[in-house]
Amino acid sequence: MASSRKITLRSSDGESFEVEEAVAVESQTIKHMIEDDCADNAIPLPNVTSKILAKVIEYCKKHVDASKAEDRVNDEDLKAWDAAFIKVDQVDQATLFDLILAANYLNIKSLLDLTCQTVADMIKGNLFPVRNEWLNFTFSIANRELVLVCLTEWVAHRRLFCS
Amino acid sequence: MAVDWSQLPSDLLESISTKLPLYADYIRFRTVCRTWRSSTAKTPNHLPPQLPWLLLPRFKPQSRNRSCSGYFYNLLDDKVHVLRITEMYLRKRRCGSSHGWLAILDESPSVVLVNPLTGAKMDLPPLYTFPDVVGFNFPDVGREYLLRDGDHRLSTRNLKDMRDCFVKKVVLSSSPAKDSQFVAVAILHHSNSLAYCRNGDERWRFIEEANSYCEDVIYGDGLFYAVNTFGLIAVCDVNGDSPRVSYIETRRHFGGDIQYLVGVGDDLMLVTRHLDSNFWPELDQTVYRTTLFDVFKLGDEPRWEWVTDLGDYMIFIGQNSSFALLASDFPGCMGNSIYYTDDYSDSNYDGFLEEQDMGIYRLGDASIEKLPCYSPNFSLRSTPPIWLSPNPC
Repeated sequence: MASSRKITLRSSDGESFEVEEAVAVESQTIKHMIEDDCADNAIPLPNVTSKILAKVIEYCKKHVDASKAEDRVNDEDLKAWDAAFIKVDQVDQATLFDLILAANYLNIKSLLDLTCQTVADMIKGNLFPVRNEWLNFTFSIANRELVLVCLTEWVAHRRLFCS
Repeated sequence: MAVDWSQLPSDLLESISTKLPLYADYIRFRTVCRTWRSSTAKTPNHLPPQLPWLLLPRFKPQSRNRSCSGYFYNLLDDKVHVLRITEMYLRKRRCGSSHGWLAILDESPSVVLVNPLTGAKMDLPPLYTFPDVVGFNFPDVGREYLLRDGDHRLSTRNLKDMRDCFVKKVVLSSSPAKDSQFVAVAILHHSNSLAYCRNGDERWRFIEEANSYCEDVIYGDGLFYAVNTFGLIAVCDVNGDSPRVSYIETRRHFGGDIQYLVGVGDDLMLVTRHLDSNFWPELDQTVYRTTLFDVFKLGDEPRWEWVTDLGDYMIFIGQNSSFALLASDFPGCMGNSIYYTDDYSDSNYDGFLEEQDMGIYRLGDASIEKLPCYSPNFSLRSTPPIWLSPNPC
């Protein structure tokens, strides 16, 4: 149903990627560029390296395929794929950081949501290194806030209410 | 290779902060680095309702320490913590807990709202401005207040009675710190009526047409919903110059001792508390204990339809404004439960050393569990525990 026109994307380090238009327009930024007729030649993306662009294209391709498959990919399966895609010990923090910036620049809402949620989960799971001197600084600012931070740091055992 | 997370643009920080529903996580988020701290608001604006703390009575009523620290139990980490809050002083009574603010009465006419988390305070019109209080004379010891009832008969009350028995519960429409147009509604024992006041009002006013709808009141979508003992609802609109009341005339619903109204998801629900009584002949006292809860949903017609399963929801009732939360939002919590505290004994008893009536009711098997922080020190001589949903705004 969508045209199988190919779009060429060029990363900041000069590498070219050819993708179907349907995949490229997952990015609202690229979509506007195409509509504004700037896509005759390759679309330059000076803010995205080839390594990150490859990952972004992988993500967009999966999501486009998922929505047009004959038996639509189960929501659960897609979520599981997303989780594997973004798993932090495979995607190192530097890649995650670059992915967030790329998703923001390229305006891909679902990828941006996924990456932001991952950062939120890292905060909840205490995976962010917090510098010690920083904790002292916050203590002098707001006593009550620190009480709460200490409360959560103090969790030794969570008692499960499930019987 | 260390990533410089401080380089993340502030609109992305905003997106990330919306994905942190727990207040403690939001605070942790702001301690990651200096840039993040300065780019985000100290008080998050869009924090969803938090899992409530249980504010516990002081363990040593005769303590000489007047600086008043309070104890609260945190369901999330199953620990009792100490927080310095003057509202725990024994001779004050907490008659409402709404949006993280407590309504406090003591042996003076003042009605004060306090947010224990931020320390903020706000005054509501004093007790002698209620329409049925016709006189207040402080030097007249033991008969300071002069009240008039519906039949125009006069009677007097002393300071303690007014603190303990005049107001049943105070419910707020929203947090006073966040919303300068907030409205407070008080359920009054004396005249079995509802009174309201807006921020800045000098007096309380009756909601005349909602007389006798005094079992419970909640706020939702700009309106106050009040229920009577038969399950009929008065919907009160106090936004204009004078209150307008409409009714939801459900089929008369019988049974149970205390009714509570609560909004669960998009539904209005009625929670009926059944008490069992035991007579202690040696002490000549009847003691009540909760045995069972029934939950009903407002269905079409309109009538109350029995609900057997709350799904993922937990309901918190007691002296607080009843509310419901999803258990899956909070690690370690189980849904299909009613967390309840004692909200009727303190006006019934005279210091008899019996246990507080509080616990967790599991709808699944109709069982009652003690709250994990339960201690035999929670006698009726101390102020009953109350649920408080901590609110940094």
